[in-house]
Amino acid sequence: MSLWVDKYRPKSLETLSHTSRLTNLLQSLAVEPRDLPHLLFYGPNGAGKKTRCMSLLQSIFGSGIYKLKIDVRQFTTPSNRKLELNVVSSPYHLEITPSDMGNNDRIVIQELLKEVAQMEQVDFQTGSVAESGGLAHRYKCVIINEADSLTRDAQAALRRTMEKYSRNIRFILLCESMSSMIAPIKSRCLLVRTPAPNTLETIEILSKVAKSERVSVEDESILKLISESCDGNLRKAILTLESMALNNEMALKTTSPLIRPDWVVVILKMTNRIVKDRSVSSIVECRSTLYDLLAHCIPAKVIIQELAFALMKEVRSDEHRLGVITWASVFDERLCLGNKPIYHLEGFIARVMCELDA
Amino acid sequence: MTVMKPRLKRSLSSLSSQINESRESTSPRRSDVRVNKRSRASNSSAALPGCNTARQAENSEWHQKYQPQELSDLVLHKRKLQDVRNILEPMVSGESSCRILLLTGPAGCAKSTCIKLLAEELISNRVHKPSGLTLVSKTSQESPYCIEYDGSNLPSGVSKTDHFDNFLTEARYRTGPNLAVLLAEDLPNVFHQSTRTQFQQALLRWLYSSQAQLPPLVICLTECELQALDSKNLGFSIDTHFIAETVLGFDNLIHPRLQRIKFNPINKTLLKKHLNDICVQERHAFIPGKWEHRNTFISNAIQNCGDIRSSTSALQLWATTTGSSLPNNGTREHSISYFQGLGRIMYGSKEICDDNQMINQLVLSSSANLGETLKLGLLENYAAYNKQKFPVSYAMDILDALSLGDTMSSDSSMQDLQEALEYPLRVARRKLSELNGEQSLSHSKPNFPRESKVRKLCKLFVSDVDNYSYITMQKYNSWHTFRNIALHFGFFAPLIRKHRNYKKKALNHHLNSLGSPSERCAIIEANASILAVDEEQDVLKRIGGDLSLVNATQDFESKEKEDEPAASNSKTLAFLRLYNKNSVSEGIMDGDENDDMSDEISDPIVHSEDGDDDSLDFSDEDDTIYDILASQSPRKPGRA
Repeated sequence: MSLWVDKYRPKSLETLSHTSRLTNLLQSLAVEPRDLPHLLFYGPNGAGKKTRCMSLLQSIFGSGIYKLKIDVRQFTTPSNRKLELNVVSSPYHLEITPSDMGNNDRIVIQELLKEVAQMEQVDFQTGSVAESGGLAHRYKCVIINEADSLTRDAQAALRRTMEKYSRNIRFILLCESMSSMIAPIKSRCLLVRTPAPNTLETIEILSKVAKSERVSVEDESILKLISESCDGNLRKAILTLESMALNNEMALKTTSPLIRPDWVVVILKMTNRIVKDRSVSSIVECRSTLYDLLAHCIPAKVIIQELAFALMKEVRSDEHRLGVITWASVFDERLCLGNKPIYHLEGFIARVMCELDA
Repeated sequence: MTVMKPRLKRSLSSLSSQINESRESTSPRRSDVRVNKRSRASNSSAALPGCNTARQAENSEWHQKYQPQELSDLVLHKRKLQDVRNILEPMVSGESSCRILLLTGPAGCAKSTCIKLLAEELISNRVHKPSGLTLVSKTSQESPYCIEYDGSNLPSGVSKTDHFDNFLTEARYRTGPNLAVLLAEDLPNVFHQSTRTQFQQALLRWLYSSQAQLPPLVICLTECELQALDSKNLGFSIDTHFIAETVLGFDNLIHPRLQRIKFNPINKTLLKKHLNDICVQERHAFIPGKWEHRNTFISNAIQNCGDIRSSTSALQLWATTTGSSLPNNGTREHSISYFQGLGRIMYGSKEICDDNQMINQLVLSSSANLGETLKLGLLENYAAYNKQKFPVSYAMDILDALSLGDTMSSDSSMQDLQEALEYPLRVARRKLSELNGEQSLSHSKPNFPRESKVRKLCKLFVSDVDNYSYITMQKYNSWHTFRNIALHFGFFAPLIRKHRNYKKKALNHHLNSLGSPSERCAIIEANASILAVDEEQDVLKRIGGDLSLVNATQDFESKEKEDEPAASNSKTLAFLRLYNKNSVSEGIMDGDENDDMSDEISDPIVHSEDGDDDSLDFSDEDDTIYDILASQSPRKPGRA
């Protein structure tokens, strides 16, 4: 069986859990499938953007939307380099994560979408007319994950595609922050903010999962601990719950230790080191850790963010906190501008050490 | 005279063509000189190995004309010569276990000349009757004592990759009376990976050969750094660093039967003496007015590099042409290697006391490719200064400069700004020289940047993630984005599955001990999720391996080994492999897409009962632990 995250993921609009106001909006969209606008879901990681988007599609196209298959598509860049991209698709939609492609995402956007869009959607499955109203097949949906990491170039290409093929293609963009989306795209989409569940909602969902998995929960405080450590990231919360439950023989006690991802633990250890041992040799140690995190493809932005917030908790005085957050923002910017994250991460650590020394 | 750009790296051929060009155009008094020259050249060319006599007479270049004919003429430090002799002599006499002598060093430091002359001396002393009875192979037309490998002379029907191997096979009986030194100066196309592998293996076979007496094999390798075509590729590979480590491979280098001697650029005194000698001999060739200035020219020329060939040619060009003074004296610019550059930034330079000037030179001479490596190397090594004992604020300034420098080189305009390199280097030098006053220096061996290692690990991680996501797709029909896998699933999913796998084993054992089928079914139904885990299929290890520190290395990683996993990085391949492997199970998974649980449950039942019947699964494991676990497990279904 799949993980609880996937097992208890709502599959239709009716079963969506938190933020009922948003669910109502989506239901009203599903009533008129012919007029489905381009959508842009934005909200924090683990808030349920994808779940909502799939539920919406389910209500339009029927459960066929969950018949997923995966293809590996090849693209050739102008410089003759071969790129490979995983494309997940169902008969009614297509899902890509072009940010895997780095700087070459424009080619992917252009090539792939042109191909999809130029194909008229023909409805061979007359049987499903009743289910879908016979109208929905006119267009195909394209879900673009992590749209905020698309380059400007790719976004511009997307914008043209949106205009040109709006008759038989519908885009659903998912992103965490809208700040890096260009205005023309924002204006062409219906913006749907997907908030993260608050602690109470998270606890409720967790206890529901625990109940159906027959996990005995001694006290709600442990669920509270989990949901607080996860900052509204439901995916992380349920994964934590499952691993903790399995770790404790399906009986959660208030004293059960919280399981954090190993990279978070590593960052916390590094934070401790930065605060306690401010020396050049400890910078060198930190560099090894940083390289290791980077080798595990933890995004540099996430590292600096986790590090900054852990440091904020660790340091005592407000002045120091101010220093930490100031430098975190400076180096975060440099991360975006530069291309070798290690300089900036290590630079941040050295800065913070000096700041704490002062 | 053509106008020369100061930064243009001139090759010898361009220099000599310039010489000829200007010779055609200059004064009539040249003719008698040429006659003179021709007579000199023709008598020297008879003794000169490897020169094309017809053209040589027309075109005598000083660096060939004055090529040393005897060991005493050799412009090489006496001690270095003695080193080479100490190794080569026992090799020739067969008393040494050493089979390969490797000479490495920059261009024009008399590596091959030294070997040729030594070989002649050593072998002619031992073998008394040369040429008459010797077996003359086609590669050894000039000297019976020294056989050169000629990579371009490829007989038809021989594959390029085998050519070097054939050369060694043919030459292996050049012992006893036919004794000769095998000189490999021209290598096969080592930039081609399989040719390189073949070449390295041929050498290894040579080293491990069971034949008692092998002729001495000498490899002369001119080490240099190359400008990589792909500026993104910063790894230490043969494409960027043509040095012994990348060409010969690690296995060869550490072999006890291989001896390595590193040549340095020729020192200034020797070079000056040599150039002066040439001047005296070629006095008649000088254009009026040049002779007086020769000392200034020579003292300038020897500053730049210890490349004897290049400086001799430059001298000839300067002396025989009317052009006034050449920018840079026309000598080859001294290229600076990674370690030299790093050393200069960290500890300053002995030759150039002014740091400002030193960095100017460094920035000018370092290629764009070295620049990025240099910055990464600085990051890796600045802390080694004074054994990491200096205030954090200095480190902070250096890092800040590196970080700012990195933002200057933008990705979009492929051309990197010079300042992006210059700024961090200057800051680092200044900061470290401030420290210099306070404490004594302690040098340590520099590390290589870890960037390329990390990049390789990243690639492995990506292919691991692909593998994971294909499995998830096939088995559970769910899909996660790369980012989510990197952040959450990469850690949690294997952890959870590992727990479940463990429980499954316990549960299977428990099922074994149960009698009634109804009871068994109830347990199976209650624990379907646990039983669905399949050790063979599911990913049970942290994706990308556990977090363990990526350590800096002082050695080269052997590239070939690391290349293998990267080569199989193609998504299509991974996908197809998995698809084929799971094609059986996929049939089952197709069936249960309708949220129909019964199908899915029936699979593990069959599976586990299979295990029950022959119970081979557990025969090799410690049964007692499952007994203990089995006694606990009934509680779980009971709780339901």
